[in-house]
Amino acid sequence: MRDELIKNGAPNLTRCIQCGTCTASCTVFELDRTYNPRRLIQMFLGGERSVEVPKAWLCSTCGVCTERCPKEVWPMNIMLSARGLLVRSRPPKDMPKDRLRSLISISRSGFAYGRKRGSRARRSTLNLPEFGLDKAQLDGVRKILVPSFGKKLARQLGGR
Amino acid sequence: MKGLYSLFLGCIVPNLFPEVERAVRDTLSKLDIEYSDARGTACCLPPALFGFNNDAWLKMNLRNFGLARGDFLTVCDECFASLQDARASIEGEGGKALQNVFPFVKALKDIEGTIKDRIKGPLNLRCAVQHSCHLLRPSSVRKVDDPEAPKLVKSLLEAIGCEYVVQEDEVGCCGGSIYAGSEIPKKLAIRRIRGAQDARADLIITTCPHCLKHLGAHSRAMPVLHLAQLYALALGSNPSDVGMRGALR
Repeated sequence: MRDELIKNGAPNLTRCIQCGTCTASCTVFELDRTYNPRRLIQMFLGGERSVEVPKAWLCSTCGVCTERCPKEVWPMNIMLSARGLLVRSRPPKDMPKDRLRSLISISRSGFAYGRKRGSRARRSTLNLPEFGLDKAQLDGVRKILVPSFGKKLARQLGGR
Repeated sequence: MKGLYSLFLGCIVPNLFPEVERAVRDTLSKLDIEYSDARGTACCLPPALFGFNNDAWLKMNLRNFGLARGDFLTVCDECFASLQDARASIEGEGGKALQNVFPFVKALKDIEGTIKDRIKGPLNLRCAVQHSCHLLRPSSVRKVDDPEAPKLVKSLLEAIGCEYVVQEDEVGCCGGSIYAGSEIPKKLAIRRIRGAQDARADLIITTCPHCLKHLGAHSRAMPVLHLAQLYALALGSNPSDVGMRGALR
């Protein structure tokens, strides 16, 4: 996991000196002491693979840890890299439901949050131009998205 | 920054908050900030939502940059961060130079001196600002504002005659980017709303649709609005077109 993280968005992982500034600054740790970024980084550095799935998804991405980290380890990016790896290595059901729904929405409409009922009419009342992708544009998006997310998830995203 | 911006709307504003889009367009037009729509662009695949999937993220955004007709102007700070990071990664790997990426507030900041003369009148509202995490941090990359004591939105509010109220935790996160299965996003939202109430604010103002969506979902009495909505109102837009009718008592 360690080398995969380094390659996938967390190049400074090994600079960590375990000072704990990230944990002390963490908004989520303040409310849930089981989410400890310093401890998670220690586990990743030790090659730990079995990070509880929800843990990696708890990061609020507020970036305070990354702002304050004295070694530019960028703890937030480490959590995001871990998410990216988990999305591809675990079955889609392990992904938070709202995130899976958003990914499916992107493969269907091109956008993480699709149209709400009545929004087209509302847009027209407000004199806003039509919004959305045409079929060719959407095919282009699917061609990028589907192969990148592994076979199991690709099936849910409408690929084969 | 002069010249023609390519407006990158993202997904939340056009699909969930069309009034905010109306407000953004009205504000840009009334302030003579030239723009055209970045038509055909799709999701920025924000790492904050899905984690890094470098392959898909970079390809999706390379596609987006290919459709830019000028520097991107974003109305969502998560789009801003994602596009800005993708641009740095693509250029860093020896890719061709890409258009720049600027957040909505930057376009206002550039013409700040002229705003006072163009508004119809001061709004006189006490605003608690939900500073957007993805606009501020990491500041070495975002390069928008001071991450611990931001000043940009404060001065933009003062330009339209609003008061910036000081909250105990000025730059706290609203929790809007945490997955919905956890209790923490709700706890954080309630803390932010209480903070605004304690500071006796009339409303909460944010520049990010994720904060808008999340705080709005948890707020009963306290209105939560995008900065563009206040701007459009100050510049003379029809209040109901920009989602302001009934928003303020």
